Amino acid sequence: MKALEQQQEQSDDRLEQKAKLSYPEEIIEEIFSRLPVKSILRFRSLSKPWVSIISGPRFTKLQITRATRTALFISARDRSNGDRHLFSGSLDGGAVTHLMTIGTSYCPEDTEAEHLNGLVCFTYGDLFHDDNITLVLNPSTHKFFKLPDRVSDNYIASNLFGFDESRNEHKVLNISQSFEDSDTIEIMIFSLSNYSWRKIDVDLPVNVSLNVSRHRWYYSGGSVCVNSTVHLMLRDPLEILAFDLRTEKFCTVKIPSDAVPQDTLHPCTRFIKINGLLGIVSHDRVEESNEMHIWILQDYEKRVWVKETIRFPGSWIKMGRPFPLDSGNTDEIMFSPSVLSEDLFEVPIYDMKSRCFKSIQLTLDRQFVWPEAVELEEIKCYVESLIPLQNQQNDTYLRF
Amino acid sequence: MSFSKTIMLRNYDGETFVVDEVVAVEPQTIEHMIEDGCANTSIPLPNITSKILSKVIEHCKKHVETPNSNEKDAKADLKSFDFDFVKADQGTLFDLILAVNYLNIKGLLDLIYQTIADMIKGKTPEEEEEMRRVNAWVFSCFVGVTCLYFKSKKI
Repeated sequence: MKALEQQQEQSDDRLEQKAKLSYPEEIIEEIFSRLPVKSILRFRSLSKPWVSIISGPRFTKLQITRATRTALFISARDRSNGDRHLFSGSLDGGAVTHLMTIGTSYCPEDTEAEHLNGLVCFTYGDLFHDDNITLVLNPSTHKFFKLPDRVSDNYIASNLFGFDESRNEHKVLNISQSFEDSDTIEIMIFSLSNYSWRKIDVDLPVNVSLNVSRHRWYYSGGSVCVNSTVHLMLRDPLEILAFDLRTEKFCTVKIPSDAVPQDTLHPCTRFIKINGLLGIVSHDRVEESNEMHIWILQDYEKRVWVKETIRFPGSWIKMGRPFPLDSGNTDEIMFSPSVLSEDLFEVPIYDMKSRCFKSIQLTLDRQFVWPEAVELEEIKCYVESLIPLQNQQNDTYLRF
Repeated sequence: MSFSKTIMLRNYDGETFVVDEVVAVEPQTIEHMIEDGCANTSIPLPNITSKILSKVIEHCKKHVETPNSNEKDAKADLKSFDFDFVKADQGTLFDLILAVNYLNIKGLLDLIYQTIADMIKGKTPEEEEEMRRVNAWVFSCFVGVTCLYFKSKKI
């Protein structure tokens, strides 16, 4: 017994000795950057030297380059009063964490969520109203920032999220069209490095038509940013409008002829980002064929598209008409959820390598569940990060 | 059998290790020393003990010897080697970190960093509180706190 005790003491002493050595900061940084953000935030409160390491911009950058941890950003609508609840969840399923609830005086139909490099941009509001609300959130730290309103009335506007790789900053692109003079559009850019709007002077490509009878000249319902370029789907011609945040210029990208929807009354194309590449989903005739096609722009410079066909294991209608929303881990595509019970949702996930579906289950806290009133809307995958937001707030209930 | 060049590494304890050049250049620090012509007699590594140096050499050897193919077997073999490699006691892991950081062996560094991160994440608030209560004085020292995690794990 004594020998063992002695041994234990000796190794304890050695550990104490090691404790007196000082380790280079870079080692501490490297270890911490591999932890989940939740752990990092907890460690921050344990020692002063660690606070300065973790709070530094160098560490924030390091953490996001290591970033392999993706999580789910979920928005749900309460149909009884129009409130939107925002949650974060895990790609392994389980209970979701409430981030915040937004209430407005009107009950808007449209919300959009776009995530880029650790931040999520959530737009809430009727896209034909003046007063839509755009929030930029970091779901990992539970902080958010509300974009200041642009000063303009009588405009139809959209806020589109982007990331400029050349300046390493998040930006929001605002495109507005005047109600009165539909030939003019205004472009403004909000940069998250200086937190201000800046108007820019740029022309649309010549063939883009701004006057599409009774409709907006581009499809609402998602924009995607890849290669520092924000992409929108134009109505006429049916092409992609691309705005490069680095050069601040527009150009167009043609979509493959197969991708043009056959049903011209209700054309259904939607953007999705897969493995960091731009994708277009078409669900032409999915009900009949139980197959959905996604065209992925594999080579952006050379405009080479690759078609991915997803075969549903059974009737697509019976599965609840799932629609692809985002890609989580590499080669995985997340589809829209179906309700299993009041507080239990199932999210189908398609693996592009094995060509199989699996599903994860998410549960909502009982306080958010009213029978048949809560509906999951957006589900997007975001990368965990420590990116700070200026003037950040962390209220959990917002009323506008 | 071809005669491959060997390099002599002389360490903290005065011991000399003879390794094939192809293994010796896994650590970038040594590769640069050789390129700069500092390796005429032997390469001095005064801050690394024999125990740690032999472990490092073992790892470099294994990775150099395993063919760099995408074959499942080769990959699985390496993976299981790495898994066993980091099963060392925590004191050894910390010594390894300093040595591997100095020697600059990227693959091995990643492996050890990830191993330590996996060890310290997910502590419950109770474990953290216990740790805080027992050793308030070490908070001024970087490693003290981390060692404490491992100490409490032994209990």
